[in-house]
Amino acid sequence: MRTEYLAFLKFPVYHALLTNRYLTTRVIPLIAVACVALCAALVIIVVSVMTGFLEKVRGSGRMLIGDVVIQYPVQGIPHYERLIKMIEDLPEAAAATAVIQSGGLLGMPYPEGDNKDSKLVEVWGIEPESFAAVTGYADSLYWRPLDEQEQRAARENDIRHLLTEQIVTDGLALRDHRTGRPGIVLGMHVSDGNRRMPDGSYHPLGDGYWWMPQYEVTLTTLPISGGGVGDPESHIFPVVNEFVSGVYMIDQQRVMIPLNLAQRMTHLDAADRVDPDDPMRVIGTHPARVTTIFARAVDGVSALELREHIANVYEEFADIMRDEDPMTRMPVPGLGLSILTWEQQQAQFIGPVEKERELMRILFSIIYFVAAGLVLAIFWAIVHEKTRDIGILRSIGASRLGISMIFLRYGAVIGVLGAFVGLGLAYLVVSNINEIHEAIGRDAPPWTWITTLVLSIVALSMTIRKAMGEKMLPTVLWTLGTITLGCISAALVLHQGTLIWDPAVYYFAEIPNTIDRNTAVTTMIGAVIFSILGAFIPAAKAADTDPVNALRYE
Amino acid sequence: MSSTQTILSASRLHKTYHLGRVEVPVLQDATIDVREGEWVAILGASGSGKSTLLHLLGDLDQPDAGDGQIVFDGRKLGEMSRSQRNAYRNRSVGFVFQFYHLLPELNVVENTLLPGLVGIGRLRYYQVIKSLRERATELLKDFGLGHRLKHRPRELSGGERQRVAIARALINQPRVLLADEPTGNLDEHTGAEILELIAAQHRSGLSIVMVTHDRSLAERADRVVELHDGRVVD
Repeated sequence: MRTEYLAFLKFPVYHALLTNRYLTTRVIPLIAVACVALCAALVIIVVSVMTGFLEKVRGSGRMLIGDVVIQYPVQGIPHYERLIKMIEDLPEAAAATAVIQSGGLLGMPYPEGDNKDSKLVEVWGIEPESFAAVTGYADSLYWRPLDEQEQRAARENDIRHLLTEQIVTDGLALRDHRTGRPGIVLGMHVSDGNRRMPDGSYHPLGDGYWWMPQYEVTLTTLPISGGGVGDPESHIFPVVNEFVSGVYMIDQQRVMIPLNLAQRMTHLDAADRVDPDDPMRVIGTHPARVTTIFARAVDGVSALELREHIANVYEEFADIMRDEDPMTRMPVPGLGLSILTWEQQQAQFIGPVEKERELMRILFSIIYFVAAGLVLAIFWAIVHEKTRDIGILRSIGASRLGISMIFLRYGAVIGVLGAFVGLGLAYLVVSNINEIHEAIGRDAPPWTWITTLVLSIVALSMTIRKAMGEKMLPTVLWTLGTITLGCISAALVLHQGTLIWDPAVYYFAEIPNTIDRNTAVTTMIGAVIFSILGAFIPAAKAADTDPVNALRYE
Repeated sequence: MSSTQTILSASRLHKTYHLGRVEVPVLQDATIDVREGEWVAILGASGSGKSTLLHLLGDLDQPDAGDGQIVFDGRKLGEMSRSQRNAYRNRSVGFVFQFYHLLPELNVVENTLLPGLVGIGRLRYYQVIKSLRERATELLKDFGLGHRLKHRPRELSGGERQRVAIARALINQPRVLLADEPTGNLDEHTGAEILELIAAQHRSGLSIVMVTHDRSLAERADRVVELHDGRVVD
């Protein structure tokens, strides 16, 4: 008995021969492969999109704010230049930059006429050079000349064909090179005139007429300080470029202006300190402030490690400044001032997304059981159909274990094929998910419903023809084909274009479109394991088949 | 043709089938000896237990518990391990059935080769496949199927299918051929051809146990064992 159980370790060739033939000469195993493939594809697609979403949240967080964020909103951090110097002196820090974060009202140049649009925006005052060293700001500037390869791929009327490097230089310097005036860089979706094209590029309305970098905008801020709300400050800026962070919520409301101007407009610039008892007497200077400092770690140092070092540096900095400038109150960590890693800063958003992803993974893993159930049902039918073959094989000396191994191997092959087909399917869907989404978002072109309608009419005529014959199956199949094509045609006619992934709701302008490797690998392994599990019961049934009864089976 | 040495013997075999609560005795105290090179025909009407006896001799079925036993070449089947009994069905005996029982997915050569592939692993396969294929081809050519090697069973006539089944039974050079109504599904002319094929194997020294209900066919054998209601009555 023990020898029989070990016999399959010899990998008998007849297992492979029969598995191969059973697989290639029948339709039913192909249905099993299709079922496993669909199940695997579903899991890979859903979890990949969720993982991509999570990675985008993480990636965008780091790209936009660096590794560590020091924040003291409204009143701002005084003597920030000293703090930045001390942070940059840390061997763990690569760069640090000061930022003003405030709100404002942006007067847009459109529409034509006097009644221009206004928009509430998030104003970031930045030092472009150091800001670009900490964040991915330089890469996020959208308007730039195309390289040769991009030129070939771009649309003919793409504005970028006409651009020179100067527009990037202007964006990076926040300055209009023609006039030397300070410029503003807008998030791509701040202007309602920018339209995202199916290929992911942007094209302003009016075939380029409303291209923002040729206009000026008026920014108005309402300075808020510990003492209350000050008078509004307005400034007219030429738009020097636009940026795309990939995060819709940011791209539709953030604008970048030079730090010194932002400080002036929010009243966080240096100012005379007057004697409270004699307002005409200047007794010193209020230092300039910023609301936020971003820092980036050197390679190999984690954000968490850098945060610890910066927290220590801040204590040291605050002590020094209390000695050197006792008139200025230094913010205290935990009392309004926060020092957080980018991940901690975005924890409220990342946490739920992570949980949602795991929930989806678990829920969609139930699909494995569906795959196993389908394989079980299909294999049960195959074993039933192959009962006589089992009797024949037993009569020529095949062992019970050998018989069961044929079906287990068969299950494994179906699992492997299904897993790879599923991966391919998932790859096709995920890598084209934005195009699919765009297509769903548009009305169906007439040729699609006309074609399906013609095909359904052809299928109907075949149904009538087959109905006159003696066989019922062809009639049923053609009827199903007619109904399916008819329904598709009707659905295409009625399809009005549905926006499923609304960037305003889902945070990002694009659906993540890369396959998550870990998910793909685990799903494929799962598909194989569950296919084998599904084949186990029919395989055991096959092994227990009485050869005499099997040979009598017709 | 036959020697005095017994190659396969069965003694005091009983077999009862259970149809719900009803017990149907199929074989009662059946005893049979087959000598080396002997052709034995088991003759009986439908339901006499002749096929059951053949299945017991070929280890496709087990006799009821009792003192009945089957001995092949001095070894009791009941005392063999499962793998030894698998090897017995694979190498020591070869089956030929009334309805041919070829695998529809395999072609003629593959069906013939199959018993040769069952008992061996992949390593051994590469050592023997060439000679095995040559033997299969040779057998099939001898049986007049040289032009049908790549054909599937559904593309063959009944007589041709039975020839393939006989070739398959002989591929491992068994010591005993167990044939269950080998001509029962064929017309008279084709049946005669198949019987001649079996007779040729007998002439070359193969022991044969053939089940039939046709007395004229049984008389071609060296000896006829008659079964009536599960009992040997010769």
